[in-house]
Amino acid sequence: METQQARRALGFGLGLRSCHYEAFARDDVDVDWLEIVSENYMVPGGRPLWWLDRIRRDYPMVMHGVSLSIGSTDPLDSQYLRELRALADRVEPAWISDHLCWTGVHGRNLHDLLPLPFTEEALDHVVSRVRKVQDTLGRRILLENVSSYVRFANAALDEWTFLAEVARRADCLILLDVNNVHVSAFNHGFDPVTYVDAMPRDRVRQIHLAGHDHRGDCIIDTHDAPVADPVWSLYEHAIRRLGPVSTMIERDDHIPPLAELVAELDIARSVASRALEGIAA
Amino acid sequence: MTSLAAIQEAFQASILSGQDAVPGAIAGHIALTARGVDIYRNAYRSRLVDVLSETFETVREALGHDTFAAVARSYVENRPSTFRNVRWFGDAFADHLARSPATRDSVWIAELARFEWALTLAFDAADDAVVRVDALAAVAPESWAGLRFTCHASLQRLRLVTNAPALRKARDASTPLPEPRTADTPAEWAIWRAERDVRFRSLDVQEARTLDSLREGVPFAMLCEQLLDEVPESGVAVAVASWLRRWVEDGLIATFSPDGPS
Repeated sequence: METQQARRALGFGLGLRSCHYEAFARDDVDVDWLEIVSENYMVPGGRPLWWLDRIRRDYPMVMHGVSLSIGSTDPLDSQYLRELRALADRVEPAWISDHLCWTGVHGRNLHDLLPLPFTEEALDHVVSRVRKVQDTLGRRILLENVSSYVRFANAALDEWTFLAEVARRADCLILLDVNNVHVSAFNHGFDPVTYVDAMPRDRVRQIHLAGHDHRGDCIIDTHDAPVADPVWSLYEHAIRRLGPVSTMIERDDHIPPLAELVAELDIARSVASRALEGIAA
Repeated sequence: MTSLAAIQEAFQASILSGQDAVPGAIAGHIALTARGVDIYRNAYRSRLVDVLSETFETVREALGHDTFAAVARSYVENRPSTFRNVRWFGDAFADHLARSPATRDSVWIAELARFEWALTLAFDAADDAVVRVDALAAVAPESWAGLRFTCHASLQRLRLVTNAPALRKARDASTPLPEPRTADTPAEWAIWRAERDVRFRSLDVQEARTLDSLREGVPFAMLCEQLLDEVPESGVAVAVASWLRRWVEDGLIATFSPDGPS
């Protein structure tokens, strides 16, 4: 198990997006670390890898995948895992993460993060696959909770119990997406605080924050807007509960100038610091 | 209890089919209704249409939003992705445009898509080293006849009958697209990446044929021989050497060796 020091190591980060490459290379940006979407750099060469190497010199990085499909009943894709490992050898990330979801079966890829039924069968299935992935990559991975719009009536477990159990049994780590907790809590009518409180402190290694689209009767996880107030509140609660955790903001659409995202990251810094003062007091 | 595999199969089928009904195998197992399934169905389609519209940005501009969305949507319905990385999803879009009732009568649309796809292939092809002019200049005269070459991994060759490159150029310059035109005879094009920038230029017919032969590993002397019917013997070596110089300056040539590929 890593030390408390390692858990705190990274600070506050952003997702690296191509529209910000030049700004990151040119300016001294007040960002402690960057997260890359692994698949964007799993290409033979050219501009994306050139910028990656250049920016990596100045910032610690973590890798975040969208294609592992850890919950699929299709076989694990060994070619994908080899390529992921090769990218990790190049980037030397602090860690590698993906999502607690599936993306398709029968060789199809829906390019979406699809929800799992939280059954004992699914739990066993995911745990055995996480172990295989970790053996192949030679390191523990982080799994992220996804936003969901359906849930399965045959679920035997709550999502938070399922996630914590996967982490415990497979000995993996957790990327807690606080926005996703908020989105799914609203959509399915559970208490988001219960979810956060069920997270094992020693396994939550990273937090995602993002914006969403509130459509009245449901919330869609869109990553196209600033972080919403209820998500900030839940984040404050999460830090109070979990202690300092490396935190970043994800923005994938309507991406503003970098300075705007850095300013939003400052809000995360102050919310976290307020939460930690609360613990100390 | 319905197994995980059965739930995933039925849920995927429900998203791919785009139909309202939730399949029987999972109907009793989904708590949040058809509304939730609809969100996945719509997200699936709009995400992949977005991917196509980013990859084929000039096709989208030329067709207009609605026509592009309709034809992209029909591609999504007909060709579910089997790619791990969504970057490859558009690989058969040009063929789809060539067959689709809405676009098949306008040759330029599929050709423009073929051209834009070639740009993406050049964009992130492998980072081969390139030969420099002074390295080639240092080759002893007696070695030239046997010289063989390889091309940069990014090189794409196309034969186009329309002004697709001009449309893309206008798009890149944010100027209005010119009228699509179809020529009587096709033109030869090379598309490649120099450093980090994707470039393209037309080639004359002999230059294109010689480049294609060079790429297949034909040695320098034979490249010259192949032109003897069209170019006077005294000028053949000069012609090939001058094309070669241009290709080297363009960054198209990755390696050369006096004895052929090892």
